[in-house]
Amino acid sequence: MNVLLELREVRAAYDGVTVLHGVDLSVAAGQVVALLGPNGAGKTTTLRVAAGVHPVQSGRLVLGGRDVTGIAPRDLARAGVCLIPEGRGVFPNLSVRDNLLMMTFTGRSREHIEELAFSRFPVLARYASRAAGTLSGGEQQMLALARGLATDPAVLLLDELSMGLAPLVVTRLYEQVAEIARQGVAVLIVEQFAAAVLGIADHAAVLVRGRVERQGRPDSALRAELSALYLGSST
Amino acid sequence: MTSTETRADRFVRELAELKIADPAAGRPRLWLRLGATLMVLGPVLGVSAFLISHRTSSPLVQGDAITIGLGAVTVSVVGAALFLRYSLTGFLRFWMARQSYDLTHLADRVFEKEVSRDLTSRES
Repeated sequence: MNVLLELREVRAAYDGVTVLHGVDLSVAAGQVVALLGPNGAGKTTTLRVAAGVHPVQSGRLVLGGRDVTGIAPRDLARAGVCLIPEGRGVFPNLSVRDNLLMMTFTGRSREHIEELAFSRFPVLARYASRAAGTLSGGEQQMLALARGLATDPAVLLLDELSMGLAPLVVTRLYEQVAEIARQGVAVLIVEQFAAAVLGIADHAAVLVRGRVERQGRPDSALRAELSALYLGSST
Repeated sequence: MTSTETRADRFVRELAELKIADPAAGRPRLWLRLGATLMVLGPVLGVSAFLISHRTSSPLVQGDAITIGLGAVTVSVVGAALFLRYSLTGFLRFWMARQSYDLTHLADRVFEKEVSRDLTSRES
């Protein structure tokens, strides 16, 4: 298994308050890993550490077998690590086409990026001239994904993809994510709402108060444990 | 790099060598550098042509110097055009991002003001 992303005993803090207490996690090429857990568990911080945006107190960030702890996020992004943050990170005042145009910094032509985006998300072609801020949440998330794909990622980090979206839209988006992973991209998804993501995940980890409490295949035992975690009792 | 290399393989190889290719170092960066080089080369050729023509009284050599001089002007113009084209692209991209950010920020502030005014008028 070609492991592309590894977090080894990662500890991270905000203003001296430790929020990750030795997180171990790995994602292989073509694999979808779901990082689940309640609010404040440290899921987003884990993603930020993986993208190099947040510094680690101790532990190692290993990409493609190489220790890259402390390397600038810009260099990790160039290598192929793509973080799609919570809230999508699109430019609301720019049109869909201009949002995609911004991604030509990757050295790819506008035509190529548009073809990539519009073939995967035809709805974006329909609204190409509309301001991104006027799109629905699902369409904005599609645009964010399309912008991410324009960077030709090897590791894709998704933060709360389902936030504020209708269940049907979430299911469609996750189908696209699964398709992206099938092309050999390592995908790490942070989610608070487990149901949809467990449908496509090959592996799931449950983060509680900065520690991975359990990880493994998303089987019924893990689902039961998640229910207990969220609802306070085993179902 | 072989043609059968997957994205994951390339990722591992680039990180192993820690030679991370700058995506912007593709064709646009090449054109930008070529433009800058031509802009420098133009004046150098022009001065050379001037010196050549002054060091001889042969009309044939002077004719050659005129040709070099005209070539120098062409090289400078083409170089400047290339340089402007590719440097402006980068500048305008960030300008557009900045504009977008400023507009969003302004809209948020206006919206917040409107909401607080609305709430105040309701309370009174």
